[in-house]
Amino acid sequence: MWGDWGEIPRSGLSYAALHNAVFAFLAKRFATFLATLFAASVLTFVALEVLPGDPARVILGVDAPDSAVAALRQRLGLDGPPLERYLDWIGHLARGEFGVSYTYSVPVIELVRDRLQVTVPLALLSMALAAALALGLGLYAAAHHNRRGDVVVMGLSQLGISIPSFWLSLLLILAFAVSLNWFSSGGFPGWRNGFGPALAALVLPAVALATVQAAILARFIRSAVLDTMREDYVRTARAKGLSANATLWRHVLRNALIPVVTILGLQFANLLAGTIVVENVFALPGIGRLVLQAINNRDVVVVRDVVVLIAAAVIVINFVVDLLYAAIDPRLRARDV
Amino acid sequence: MTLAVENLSVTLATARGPLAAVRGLSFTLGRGESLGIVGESGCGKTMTALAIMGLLPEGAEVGGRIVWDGQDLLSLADDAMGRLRGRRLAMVFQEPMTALNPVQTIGDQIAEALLVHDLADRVGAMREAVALLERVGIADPERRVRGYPHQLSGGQRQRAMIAMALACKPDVLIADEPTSALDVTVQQQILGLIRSLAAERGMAMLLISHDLAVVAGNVARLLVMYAGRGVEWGETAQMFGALAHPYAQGLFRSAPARALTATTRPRRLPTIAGQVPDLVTLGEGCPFAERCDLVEEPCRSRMPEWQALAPEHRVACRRAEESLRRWKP
Repeated sequence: MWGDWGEIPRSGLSYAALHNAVFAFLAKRFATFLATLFAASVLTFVALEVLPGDPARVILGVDAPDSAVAALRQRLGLDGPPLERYLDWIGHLARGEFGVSYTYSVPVIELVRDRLQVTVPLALLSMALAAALALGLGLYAAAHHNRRGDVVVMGLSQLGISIPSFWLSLLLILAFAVSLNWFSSGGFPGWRNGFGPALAALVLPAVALATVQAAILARFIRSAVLDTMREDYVRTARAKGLSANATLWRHVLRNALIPVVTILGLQFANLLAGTIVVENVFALPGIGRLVLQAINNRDVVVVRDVVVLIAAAVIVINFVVDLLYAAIDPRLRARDV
Repeated sequence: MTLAVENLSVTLATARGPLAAVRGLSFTLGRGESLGIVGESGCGKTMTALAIMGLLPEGAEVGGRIVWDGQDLLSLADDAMGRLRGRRLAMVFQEPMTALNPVQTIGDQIAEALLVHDLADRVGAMREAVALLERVGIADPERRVRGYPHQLSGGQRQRAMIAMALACKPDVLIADEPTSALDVTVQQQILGLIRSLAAERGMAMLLISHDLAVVAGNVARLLVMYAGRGVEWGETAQMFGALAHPYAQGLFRSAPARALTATTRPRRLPTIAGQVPDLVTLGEGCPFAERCDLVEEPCRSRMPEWQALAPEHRVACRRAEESLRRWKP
């Protein structure tokens, strides 16, 4: 779809003007990216400053002598004024240098690299599950608008939205791990020991995460499809002789996806946060579990670096969503760049 | 192949109860003929067109018969109707800005009409789309087939809609207010295009408009509708010489073009006193009775019978003679 940029002049833009417009667009997006990261870093730093609990005291234990704690504080660089420590931190971040974890004595970037091998596949798997399920249910409900099928699907969706993911995780473990013994109840064997077992370990957590997302998404898809079915061009398609089903697939769906993509992007960002709970229930060594353990251990270096990385990931996802808009809707390709 | 609408009724479900959008409407449209349906918004013009196409909104109840090519279209299943839609009966809609799919190219949308009815393969359909765009007067059609609707002006979009409707060489073209959303300068071009294409291809044409001026010069016969009923029909020239229904006269007098040419200085447009009746509570009498200055008591209780004023001119009015006497075209 990007290939036809050169073939059809859009709104009379010349090639050079188009390149300038694209450059201005990317520059603007990059500035927003930096501003958002700055805000995220300030918030994270302040939150960790006011959080009770001294990292040095946590590391050395409650019985350690005050002098030893003070010495460790100095060694960890915790005794300087807050502004100085903040500038020191983002100065290193800007140069791409991440901190070293107090508890693991390993560079944060290495911790993250290992954990991403769990969290990214988990998020992708649950998003794919949620999208497939929601698409089927949403389309079915819209096609059976105000009839029994619609009511049943919407009822199920309400139920799905209401179930907390940690509780659903426990139910899934009871049913599919304890009673049926189809899946293990937790833990992660790692990708090196074979694709199958690793994927199997992610199935139940992915279902737990996907259920809520699918329930929300199905509602959005249903109403987006219903709105689109009222459009004049849908009647035009029917007047050409297309059946109701062919019209739904060829004309309604792609237009209905435009608002749905927004929700999809937000949900993916949400999923990254949602993994904190589910990864803990299933004892998966992912990003979410890393953050939670780091907070408990007052491993400030890990928490602040990972939070900024997650913020960056969310911004990148939003950018991808914007590109998706342009792929779906030709009107946006010329106008906004 | 004659399209015969017989005693058509369309009732829509509303929150206030059933709304009689069309009541007891009958007309015929022979091969290659042209008929204009005129009336104001809500008189049932569009519902009549949608009933013929089998595209009435969900929950609409339809009665009577629409006979075409020996079969009653109202009794056809949706897939059988789908084979006629676009192929034998085509329709151009009012709003060119919203009637085209914004995320598909113009060429894909025109080619789809041919592909749905298996009249061409993909390459052939695209080639035909280019030829159609050229025929409806769109410049640079090879480039435009790859363009999207938002890159075209309103007039160009309506031309593309016409190209789409013509793709399968239909027998009947229904044009519902095809120019109402367009600039006045573009209106006559589009109407001229539709008329010449209909003549060139021997298509029957049903032209629907609220504007007598739009319809008058472009159709051989005219049907005036009011509040869901036909009130007068005839040959266009004959009718304008002897417009007999009080509503039809009022519609003619309130047309802006006439008000401007009647005197050198613009004057206030004449209007029809009163309001369109509520179609939910409307009774069995003449729907125009409450606004008619010639009304008699029987008008309110029973719909008047059709009277012949000439071999091809009929009016449904009890006071047609008195009304006709005061008509000055």
